[in-house]
Amino acid sequence: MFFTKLLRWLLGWVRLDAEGGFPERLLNLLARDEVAFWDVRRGGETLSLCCPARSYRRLRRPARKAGMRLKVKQRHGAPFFLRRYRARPGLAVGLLAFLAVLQLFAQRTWVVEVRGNEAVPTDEILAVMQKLGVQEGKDLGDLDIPTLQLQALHELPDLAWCTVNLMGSVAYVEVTERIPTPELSNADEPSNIKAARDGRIVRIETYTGQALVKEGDAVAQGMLLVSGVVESSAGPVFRRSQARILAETERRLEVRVPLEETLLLPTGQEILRPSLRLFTLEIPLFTDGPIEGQTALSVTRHTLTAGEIHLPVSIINRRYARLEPVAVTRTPEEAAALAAERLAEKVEKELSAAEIIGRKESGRLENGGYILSGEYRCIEEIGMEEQLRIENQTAEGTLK
Amino acid sequence: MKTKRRRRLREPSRLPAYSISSRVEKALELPVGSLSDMARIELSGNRRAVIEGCRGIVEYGEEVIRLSTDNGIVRFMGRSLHMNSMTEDRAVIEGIILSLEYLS
Repeated sequence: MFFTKLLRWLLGWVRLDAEGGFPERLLNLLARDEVAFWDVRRGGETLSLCCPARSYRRLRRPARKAGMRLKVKQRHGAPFFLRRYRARPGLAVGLLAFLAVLQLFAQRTWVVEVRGNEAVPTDEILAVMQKLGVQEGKDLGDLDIPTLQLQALHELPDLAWCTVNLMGSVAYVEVTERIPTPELSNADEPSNIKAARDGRIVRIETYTGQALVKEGDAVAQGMLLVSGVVESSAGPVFRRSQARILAETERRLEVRVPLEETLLLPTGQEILRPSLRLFTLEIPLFTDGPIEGQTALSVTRHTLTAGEIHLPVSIINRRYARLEPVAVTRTPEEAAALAAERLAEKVEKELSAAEIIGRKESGRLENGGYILSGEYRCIEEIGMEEQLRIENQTAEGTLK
Repeated sequence: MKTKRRRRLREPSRLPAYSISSRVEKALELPVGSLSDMARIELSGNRRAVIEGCRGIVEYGEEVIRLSTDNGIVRFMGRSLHMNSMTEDRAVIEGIILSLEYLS
């Protein structure tokens, strides 16, 4: 019944009154002429019935034969509804444009989202996917997933598996990262341990191999500390050396800060260049020409979102901060403070693995600059494993 | 034996005369009206009647609707009777049907 009503509404129907004459004859004539009608009601001398809008003209002759007068009472359905908007073609054009845009956008990928990665950067995966054709604005309906998988894994060796799942207009790039195989201690690969830098041994723990130094010994860089050639009753045996060797070392770091230098500094003037990004199309929202001079660029992207889903419409703001060369002159005190700051950063970076047990810092002015030197006494690991190359195993072990 | 058979064949039928199609229906034990032209009326409670084999309307009113069928005139009596739809040989009557009569 629902579809009957829907069809009637789409085609349009009228309710009309027939007065006078012979109602029964009218109904019989309508049935004989195969004119569809329904909901026939009798109220006194009036007969009320419904018929399709297109059939109304076919009712005239039977009505005349039955001696009845017809009068339309109500009009229903889509043709009458649409007739009201006949004078407004813009509405129809808008509706058609909306449907066209909807159809076009429904076939396109709006968002490419990477899931499952931790170590491999998302941007790196997206760059590879873009190269393989998976990007916003593309029709991914006929994507060859197996080929894509092979190519993506070839380009991204840190991934163990990847695929692209299309859910509506969102392409989910699902990845699984490769778990690196742990470095196994292989006794078949003999090695020595040598000193990475000069120092005095303060502690040595030998796990395998033969120690050639003891606590308190002074060692020089490159000196053999633990040998992989172990003497036994059956002759020399080659082993992989493993040991923890802590030594007291002297480290010297130095920074220089000039008292006068020319730096590129922001002037405070900023140029905003916004653009509208729709899928892969970027529409500039500025009219002025290219920027001259030196600038520092910062980019911010504001993406339109629906819930947690990022839509392929975004505003990209590019801010160009103007830079100009400025001659900077520092007093010795300012230079010393800056040098101390830079030296602390350098110590933090280079001696992070060492324990500093003593430090001595001194500064001096030299050649128009402030030089801050630091001497540090550290306790640090100096063991450096080096593989043993054996040229002739049957004869004596020849070390290289 | 022959005499008995003749007597049985010549024995007058007590049933009214049937058409050939009605006799075939009876011989093959088919539903009545499947081969012959008979109006078929399907009632859904007392609210709706579907009449197949309707040949036209004789009288149309809120309390009485008379239809012409192959088997004569059928009269529906009731309240708020109206015709839901009608084609050349089919009619649907809705309302509160109180009685249904065949008028010869």
